[in-house]
Amino acid sequence: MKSTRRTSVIVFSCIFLLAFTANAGQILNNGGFESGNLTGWVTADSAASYGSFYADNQLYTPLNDNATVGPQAGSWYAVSDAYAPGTHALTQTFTDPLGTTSALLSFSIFVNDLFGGGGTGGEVLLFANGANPLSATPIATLWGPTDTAESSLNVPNAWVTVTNMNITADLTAGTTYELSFLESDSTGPINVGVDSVSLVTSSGSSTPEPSMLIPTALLAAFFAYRARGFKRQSGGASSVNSFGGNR
Amino acid sequence: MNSQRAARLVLLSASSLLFSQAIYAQAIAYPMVPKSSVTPGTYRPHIWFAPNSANLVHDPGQPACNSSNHCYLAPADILNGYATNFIQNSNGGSGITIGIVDAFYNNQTASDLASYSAYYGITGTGTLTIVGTSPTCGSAPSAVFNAGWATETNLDVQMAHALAPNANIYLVTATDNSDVNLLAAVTCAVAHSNVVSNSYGGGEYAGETSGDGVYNSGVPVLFSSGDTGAVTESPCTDPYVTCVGGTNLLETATSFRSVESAWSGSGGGCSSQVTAPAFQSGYSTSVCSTARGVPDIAALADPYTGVANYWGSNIGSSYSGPGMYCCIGGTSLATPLTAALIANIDAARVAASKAVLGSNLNQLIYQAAAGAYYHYRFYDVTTGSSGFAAVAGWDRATGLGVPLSAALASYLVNIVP
Repeated sequence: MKSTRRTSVIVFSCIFLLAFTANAGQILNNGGFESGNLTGWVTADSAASYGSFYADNQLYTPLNDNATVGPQAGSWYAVSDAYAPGTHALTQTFTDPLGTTSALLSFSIFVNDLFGGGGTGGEVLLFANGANPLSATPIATLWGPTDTAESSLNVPNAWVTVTNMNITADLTAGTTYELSFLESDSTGPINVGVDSVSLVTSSGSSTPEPSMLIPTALLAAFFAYRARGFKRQSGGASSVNSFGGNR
Repeated sequence: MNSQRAARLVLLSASSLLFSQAIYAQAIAYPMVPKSSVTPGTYRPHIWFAPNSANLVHDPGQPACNSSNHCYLAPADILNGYATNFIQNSNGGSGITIGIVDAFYNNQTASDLASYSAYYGITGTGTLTIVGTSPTCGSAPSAVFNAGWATETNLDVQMAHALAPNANIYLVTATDNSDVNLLAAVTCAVAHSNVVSNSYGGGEYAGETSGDGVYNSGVPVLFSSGDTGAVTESPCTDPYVTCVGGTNLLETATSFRSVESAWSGSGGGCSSQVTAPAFQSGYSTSVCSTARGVPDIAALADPYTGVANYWGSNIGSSYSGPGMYCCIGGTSLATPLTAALIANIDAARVAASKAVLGSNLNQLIYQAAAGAYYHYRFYDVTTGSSGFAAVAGWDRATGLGVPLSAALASYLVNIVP
């Protein structure tokens, strides 16, 4: 009993310390769409565009049956599809953890223009929390429309995979943002595929910042004191029982 | 829906294994009724036949389909190539009647359709009604058999059923192939159906728009544009007729369009008799000026990327007996395919509590192609030639191009009142 409590206190303290001094890890939800839906993401679509981003597990788009290469990884991916010109956004809101010194974004994307209509194509944008991705000015354009070549006529593009794009400088620790995949077309249908989206943050250092050491040390001391308290209470109860037993 | 594509492909693979037919000697496509055999005042069916099973390959996935390498598309390939989702979601034309007009009578048309459906596993609920026009619309069909028209009739009926399996078919058999009797058959068909498919035509002549009253009677009327390349034919030139040209459609191994180009035989051009209707302004008028330009749209027609049909003993006895025959095409193929598409759109409109489409179909089609919407709703055929090159935008080989079914249907169902 005593040792269990002591262990749990130590573990709790360690977790608390880890939150400030070690990797925070993956901070996006359902980045590979393997839930089979857009859980964790929200879509926004311009008026009268008759389309959106959809979760897809096939070799073709949900509305127009346009050919695709299927998922980049796993069974599912997200893809935009529409019957009319417009803009479609697939957005996930995230908070850059306190203490982050490194934020690495990875994603896979394709841009298909199967019918030669052309259009803006696909973008990956960073917005302030609460911004409308269809109209707001982004904080940063992480991947521009010319960064992914549009497919040629009739032939769906292969995935383009971007690994560990360092977006640390675009973020402020403790702040909430929107990561948006944007597809915009005006003269012909464009299908933008998205898969394997990941944002991994870490402290980037084993040494906590000095400003964090003081509260961390204080908290560690507090829990150490609490642990001793638990011990004392436990001991007390035990002695009562012993005393009674002695009777 | 997603699993349905897979299911169809499985079905397709299974049925393909059953495909074993006689070997034919001829390697070039030829019209089932040669133009030279048709006298003035009569019409010729727009069906072509490219028999050669020695090099017969099942498209999809063929790099080339030509005179030495014949391909054919199964119904599933056509459904997939032309946007499956919409056809599936519209319930296969349920509740809609497709009128089909042909000349003469083949008493095996119904049993041939049943054999065709069995071969491909088509299990729609659509019915087939066959009537004649003499002495009145709805009378028993005439007893005269004509082999060329029988193949045309089989093509029309089998393809309409393949793409709109739940739509009813009202087949009106004209007493003969005279323009007068065929117009009487169209008159009969529009009175009993929601869209009428006609796969025949003849040379233009003064006064050829005399059928306007029939073609503008509230039901969309489709005609094939002809099979002899850069030539205009009547009645396709009628301003109230939706004129359907032809393409060569190559598909990927997974039944997606890989290349769709103009079919060399696709009829079209600028009418010598009919002035441009207002809805063509800005489309064909840059080419044809004040003349009506045809076709309006296009679909699969090249017999070298054609289809297989079932021919019973009436037709097959001239070949290798009853069975599946390949490869059949012509704008006679494109037209019932397009009529089936309209039937699917009609069914979707009815499901959305809207009226079926009417005689203003041409206006709606050209409106749908306006401005930025063009490339969403039409596959702009820009390669190949019928004598007239297929170019960006409207052209005399393929008109506006091939409907992108789902998006065009979205317009015709969701936006058009």
